[in-house]
Amino acid sequence: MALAAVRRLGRDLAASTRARATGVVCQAEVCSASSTEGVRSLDPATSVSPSWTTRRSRKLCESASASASASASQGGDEYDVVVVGGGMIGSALACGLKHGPLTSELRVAVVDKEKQQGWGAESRRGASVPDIRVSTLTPSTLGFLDRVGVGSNLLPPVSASFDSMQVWDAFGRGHMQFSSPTFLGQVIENEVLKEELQRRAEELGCDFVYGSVTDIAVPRPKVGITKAPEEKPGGDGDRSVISFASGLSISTPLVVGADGAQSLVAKKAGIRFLEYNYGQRAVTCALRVSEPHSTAFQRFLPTGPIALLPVRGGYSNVVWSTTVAEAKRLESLGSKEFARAVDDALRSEPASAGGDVHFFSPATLGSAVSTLLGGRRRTNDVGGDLGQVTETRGEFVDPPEVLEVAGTSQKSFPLGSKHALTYCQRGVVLVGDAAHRIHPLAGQGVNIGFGDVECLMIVLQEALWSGQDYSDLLTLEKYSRERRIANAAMIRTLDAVKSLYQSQYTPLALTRNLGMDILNNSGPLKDAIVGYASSNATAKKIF
Amino acid sequence: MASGIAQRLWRHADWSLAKSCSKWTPLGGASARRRSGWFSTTSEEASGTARSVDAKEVAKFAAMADEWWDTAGPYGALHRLNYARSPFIRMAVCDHYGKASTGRRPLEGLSLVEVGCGGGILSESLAVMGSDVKAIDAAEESVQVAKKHLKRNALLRSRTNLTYEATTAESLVEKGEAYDVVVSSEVVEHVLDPPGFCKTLSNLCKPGGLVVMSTLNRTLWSYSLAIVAAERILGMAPRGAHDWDQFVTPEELCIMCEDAGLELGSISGMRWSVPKGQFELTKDLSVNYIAAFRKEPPRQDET
Repeated sequence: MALAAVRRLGRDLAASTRARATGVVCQAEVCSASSTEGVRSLDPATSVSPSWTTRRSRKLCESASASASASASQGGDEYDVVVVGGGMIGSALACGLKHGPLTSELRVAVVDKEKQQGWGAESRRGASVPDIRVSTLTPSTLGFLDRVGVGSNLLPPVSASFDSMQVWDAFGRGHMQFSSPTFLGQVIENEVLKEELQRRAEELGCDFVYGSVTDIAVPRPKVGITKAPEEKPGGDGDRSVISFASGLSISTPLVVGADGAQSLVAKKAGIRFLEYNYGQRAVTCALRVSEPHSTAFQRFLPTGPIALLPVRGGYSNVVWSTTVAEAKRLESLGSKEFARAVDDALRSEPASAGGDVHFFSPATLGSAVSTLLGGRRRTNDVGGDLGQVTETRGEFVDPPEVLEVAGTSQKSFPLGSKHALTYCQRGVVLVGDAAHRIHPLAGQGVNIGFGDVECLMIVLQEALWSGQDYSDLLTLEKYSRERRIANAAMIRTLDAVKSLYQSQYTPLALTRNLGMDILNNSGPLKDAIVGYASSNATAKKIF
Repeated sequence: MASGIAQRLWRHADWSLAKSCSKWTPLGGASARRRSGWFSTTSEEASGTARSVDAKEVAKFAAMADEWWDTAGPYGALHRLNYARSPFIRMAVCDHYGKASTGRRPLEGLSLVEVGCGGGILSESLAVMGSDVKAIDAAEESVQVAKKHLKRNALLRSRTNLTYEATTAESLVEKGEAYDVVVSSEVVEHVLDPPGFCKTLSNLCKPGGLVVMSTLNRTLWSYSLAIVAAERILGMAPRGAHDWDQFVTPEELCIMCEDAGLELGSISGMRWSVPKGQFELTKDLSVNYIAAFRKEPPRQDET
């Protein structure tokens, strides 16, 4: 199997090197390793572990490279799909393609900077403190991961799941609680998920190509057959060519940009973005808390939301979005001080209702509302005055006490939203963060990325079913249209939620307090929100 | 012009408009024969070489050959039509030959000829499905474009068996070639002698094989959608690409094929889906439709 892969990789060189290869056992290894000879002269670092070779063949190369000699392949290898970026989304797409009944035939390569090791589910089980970079996976994302065959490796204790979510704000005790009989979300370290998906992709026969990408030549946007200029020897034609620092290149009809927010693929394809900087930063780290919790807490402070999520091993993870200055200050705090700050932010008493900024007292507003709602609603808990509303249903759960920072100290990252004007171009398609970046307040960033992956899989499948060119703009535009609408809706919603909660204008604050309670007590509406928050599929139905 | 259309509509109103829109029932051959000028030519007259090729139509497509593979160009609708016709052919052929339609290469092992391939939009799709495809077109320029497009796509070339030739169906028949499946999509409305063309397709097909044809129905709907909307307003198809008079109703196609020894197997409409931005299969035959005809296996008593 490995031999076959290597042979395929070194196809161009095979004829010339095979004659020279003296090793009896690893003839094919030499073929592939020999092409690194050219690399060695350029960069001493890459000669030890040739950056462009596939992961599967790498070990073999290392042993054989000393004796190899041949010139580097210029034509490069051809793949049906090349995924640039082997992160969670990129690897998931590779797995997904290999799982589809029609797409499994495609030769898929995943391009990544370097191989990372030691983050697999097995090795992380022993590690005590979880990494600070975590993702919340919704049930629909987990369903997808199950289908590609990694779901079972991600179950607790590798991850932590929460079955309820409590949202409230700094001004009142009006809150919203969501719960699910099974689970609402599962929190997992990004690196664990990434490594599991990479392992699975490799198992399914995807080639991993490691090296730093220097250039991606994408096809010309428009096709003119007879008027088109003669093809260059490098072959721009209908294919993209991905060049590596080592001087080698691979070509493909379809490049998938899964290379994150600073996507090189998007840049090379000339795809433009709508960007919006929130002027905020989020501080995050792992925390040790007084008792493990299975509720995700989120409190909207005037400066931004703070969220406490349960993570593996009884630890918690905090994501605190706040102003840049405040973020810098928080980042510089010591372990104990930061823990105290988080504790304060989560557990401090609501700002006094009769404060000087309030135009109406909660009681006044409450009675006004009850008059408006009349007797009809009196049976439905939302009567009386505001003071009692929070006591009625879905008891307020106090977040656990935050003790100290666990593992690495807190880090901050800038917040903003970014959305590509189109997700595709001829022969190029963007998925995940390469196409969109959103506010982390709903923990949806990675989930809409997985939604992209599923949609792209279906679209490619459909194209193959009707024998269409899967790399054609016609096919890719269907994906772009569908996902752009769904993701734009998510971005707008989060923008709106964020601005609503940041408002300190009292009537608005009180209304949202009340609104939250009304929501909390109305079944169908809440179900719809939970359904939306925990599934990508429903997003489609709304439009 | 309006009066001309009205007259024509009147001429066809009684049997093409009303019936083909909703429920399709084959009509008696005799009445249809009386109505259509095509049927005045006898089969002997129609058997001459390349009788089907209309030089004017060939020139029309040759002039636009460069646009074949521009999906945003005048042939964009044909690319989008693939999402309906390819699955139909996949299922009809698999059904006929008792193969599983779900595989990656369901048409593997079948020889297929596409008559009137143009730039090879459908030919490539058919080749991807695994069949050995010979695609022919009377317009040399279109075939050159198709060849060029295939030449560029190394992956397609290495995985499929697809050959193009600038020739006519009649000359293939003369050479005595026969195929398991004969496909002629969006062609019959461009030929001079549709009954003769159907006969040629039938001759190209092995006994017991399958002939698949798709075309446009001659209805008020097809006039307003395929000509007025698609060509004149939306520019989805090149202006003058179609002549409504030459459109063929399912009844006529069925009769012509019956005369050529082909029996209707399955038929489906194809309609433009606005949300999907592509064609899809439908029960409504009033605009685009696609039909698969079975060629009778050799009779025992004749052999």
